[in-house]
Amino acid sequence: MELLKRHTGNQSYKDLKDRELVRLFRRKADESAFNELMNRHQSKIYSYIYSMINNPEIANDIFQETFTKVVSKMDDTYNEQGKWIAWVMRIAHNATIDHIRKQKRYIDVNSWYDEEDSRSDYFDRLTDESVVDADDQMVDKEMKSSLLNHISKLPEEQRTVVLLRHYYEMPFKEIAELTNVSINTALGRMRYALINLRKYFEEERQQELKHAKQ
Amino acid sequence: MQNNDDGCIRYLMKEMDPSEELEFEREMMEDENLLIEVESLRKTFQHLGKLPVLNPPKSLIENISETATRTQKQRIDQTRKWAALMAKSVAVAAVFLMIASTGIYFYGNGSSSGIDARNTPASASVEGVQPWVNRNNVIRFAGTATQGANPQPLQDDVEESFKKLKLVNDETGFEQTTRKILLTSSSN
Repeated sequence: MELLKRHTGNQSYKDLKDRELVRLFRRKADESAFNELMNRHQSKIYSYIYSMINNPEIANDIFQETFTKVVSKMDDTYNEQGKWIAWVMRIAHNATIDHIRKQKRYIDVNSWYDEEDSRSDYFDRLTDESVVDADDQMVDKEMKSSLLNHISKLPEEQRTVVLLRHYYEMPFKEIAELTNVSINTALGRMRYALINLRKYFEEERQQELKHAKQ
Repeated sequence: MQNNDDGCIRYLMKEMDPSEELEFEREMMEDENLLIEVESLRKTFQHLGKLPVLNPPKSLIENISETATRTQKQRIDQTRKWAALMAKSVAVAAVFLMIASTGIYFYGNGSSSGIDARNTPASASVEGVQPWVNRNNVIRFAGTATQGANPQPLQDDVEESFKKLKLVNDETGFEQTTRKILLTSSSN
């Protein structure tokens, strides 16, 4: 109750910790508290799902499914002592992996990168901070697009480790726990992911050189 | 070799203790290939910093937020209804319990007075059997007991008393001794 009395305006929600926002939402169904939680974490969660799936429509579905599960399980399985975002991340990761395993195949990234609609859709979702000027923006977009392309070519296990590490700065101990492997395996997957990416970048560079010569 | 492979990643991801880090740097200085491998992986890893941060569509966020709030409100309402129902149930149970215990109390009192009334003849007959102590400090029972409608309490009392007391069979011996003493006394 004291918490509710103290924080009445939207501004004050920004000062609250995740745990306090979750408590407000659980006890009072406080929409502003939930929105603040979403504002804080939506980009990382969405980026992770998007980068894993490489399909905007499916990424939207998995993102929505993740939060449906978050709301339905929050009262039963979320322990307020733990980090809320780690708990949500686990749900997002499981939902993403479930989808990938159901598909039983890796998505051909070119199938959507080549489509102009999907391309514009992807660029529309980039956060404002990445926008500089027109030329830089173009180069930046191409680099990001190329990087996502390479990431999507990685085996699922390696991609998971790379993205969990990048978007959540998750320690390898936590990555190992989340993916049910040993720390050494997680470290090994990261190493192989970097080696593969290095190979993809090199291939790309060779192709660019070839085009330049022609 | 495996240690160095994992070490490369742990070093790049800054997951080493300061002492381990120093040791690994020393190894890199001694092993040129290791140094090249680490720097190459570092360069690749730096590319990952350019991974885009994407925002979900606003309509999706609004939809999720609305659904989440509605669902949570419904859950809270259900919980409150359930709590109110439980409170009512407890109150009703408490009232029933109170009525039942009051009934038992009064019924119990009424029954015990009825029993007393039925046992009046027996009680009266028990009063006729009065224990007394003779000069030798021996408790004796004398009198007659008539068995009423419920003779069991009297019999139980008597049996209980027999368990505790040592029966004196030789009544005459004591009496005579007493008499003898009395006679001697009177003769003196």
